[in-house]
Amino acid sequence: MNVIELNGVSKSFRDRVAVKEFNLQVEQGEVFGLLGRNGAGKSTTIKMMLGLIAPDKGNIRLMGRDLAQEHNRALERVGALVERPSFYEYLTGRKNLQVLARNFGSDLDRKSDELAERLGILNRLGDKVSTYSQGMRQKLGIVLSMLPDSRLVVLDEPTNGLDPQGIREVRQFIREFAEQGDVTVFLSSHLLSEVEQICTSLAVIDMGEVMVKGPISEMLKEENEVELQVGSVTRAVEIIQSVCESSVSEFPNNRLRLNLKSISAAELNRRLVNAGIEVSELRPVKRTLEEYFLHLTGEGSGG
Amino acid sequence: MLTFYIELIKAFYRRRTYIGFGGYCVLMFLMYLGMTYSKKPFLTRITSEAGLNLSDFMNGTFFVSMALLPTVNLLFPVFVSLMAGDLLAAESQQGTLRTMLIRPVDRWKIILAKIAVLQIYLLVLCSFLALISLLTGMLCFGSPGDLLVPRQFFKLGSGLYVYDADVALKKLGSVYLYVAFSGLLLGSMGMLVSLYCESSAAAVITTIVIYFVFNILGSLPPLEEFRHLLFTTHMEAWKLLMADPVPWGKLTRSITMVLTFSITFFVLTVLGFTRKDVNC
Repeated sequence: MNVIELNGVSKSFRDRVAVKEFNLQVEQGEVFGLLGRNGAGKSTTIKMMLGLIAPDKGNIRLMGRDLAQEHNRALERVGALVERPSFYEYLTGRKNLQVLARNFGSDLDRKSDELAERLGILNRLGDKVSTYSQGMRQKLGIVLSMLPDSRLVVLDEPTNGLDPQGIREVRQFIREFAEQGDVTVFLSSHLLSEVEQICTSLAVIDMGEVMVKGPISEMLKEENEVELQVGSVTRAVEIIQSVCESSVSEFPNNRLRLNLKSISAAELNRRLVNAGIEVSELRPVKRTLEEYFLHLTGEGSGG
Repeated sequence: MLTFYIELIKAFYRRRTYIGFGGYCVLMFLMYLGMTYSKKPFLTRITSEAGLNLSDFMNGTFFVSMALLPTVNLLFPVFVSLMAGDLLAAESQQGTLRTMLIRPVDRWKIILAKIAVLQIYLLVLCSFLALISLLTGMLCFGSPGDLLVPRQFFKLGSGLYVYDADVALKKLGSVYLYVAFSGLLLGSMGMLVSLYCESSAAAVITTIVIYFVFNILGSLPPLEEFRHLLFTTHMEAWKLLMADPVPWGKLTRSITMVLTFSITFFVLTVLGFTRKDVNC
């Protein structure tokens, strides 16, 4: 079942196109990342998904319900943290959770306590939000997004304003939350490593347009590329080209990189060693999301 | 009901909501100083012309009636505008509007709940004002007695009205009730203004400016025949309750106009709010 469906969604602010013909399907249980530079249209997309701003064109369905026609039912089990966390400064953390989750039941308090404890802010829930640090507000916002019983959690830059330890805690927390199975997490970030660590699928958005989308594992699929360090580069290149038709790239410190086509890594190693060439390292090349993203946005082409 | 309860918590937990109450306390003290130490030449003259002695009427009820003009004409619009601006523009400015609207709630219900909270605030504020002025009056000038009403002060022509203490208290009570009711007009206008302002200060100032501009326009002689079209004219209709007999026809017309203006502003606010992109 698709938890999120965006069909041809567009939005412009005066002459500026913020999002253009955005199509997206996110299935239940996915941890989906929306990746893009600042100003790429991520927040606008999220705000449209949550009914905060109306799209000029297209339609949005959440939990199988049309957001424009069944606004309240579509948002029934959706929680979100959009941009900066905003609270009533003069209320305590707990009162804010009650007021903003629109629930004053004891179940909500119990769940708030449980989530707040895991994020290390339980002992501050009774204090006014005006005394909270930016990191604590961020954590309170994440707790709120999961209340009272969210099945879809939308998090816009969830680790903003957190220290390194807080970032680790929050990432771990989101991963654990997503492992519950029937919950879906939609996360937007400009931090590639964050998306790579937390998400299972992603879409890359730039200038309001989707550039690519799909499972991260597909995007980072290894293309049988290997890197090796050899004693003699010239002789190694000769042998490699005689046994396979790959082009070989040379790097400093006697390093070579090639795409294996007609030969396995073990066989290549054996041939080089038999030819008396010392092979001190042979390893598959793993592409990072950062390399993929930079390649996609054209920023890596100069390097 | 849940939305109303939430709005009630938000409004009455906030310290700023109580500025009006503090402001009135300060004003009562200043009024006491003014009434005690000023010579009051105008009042002395018109009472002696009517063969009365002003000192016979210096009592608790007279203080309450004298406190009406500066509090209702000057401070009240400011406090109502402050509250109305806080209800919507401040939420937009602080980003809590965004957090609130992520949840499944009808936007018109939020506006309705805010208007209801505003009306409760007005009733509480007016009750407090009535009580604090009566208490100050009783403490400083003695228990409630017969009320002297200089008609000129209330734009009711010239001369004086004199009411028995029990009639006076009923009249003053109904005045405060009307003021609380008519405040809704300014409050709903303030909400409409604050819908289009991203900062609460801008919303508050704009509402106050509109109120005083219309007030000034209403007092210009060349615009006399258009006075009935100005919303401020109908907000000021509480003064009619000080007359004897009360011109009920005029008062009913003003009540109708206050309701018409309030409902119009409310509907416009709801329409604007339901279509508004919350992009802050």
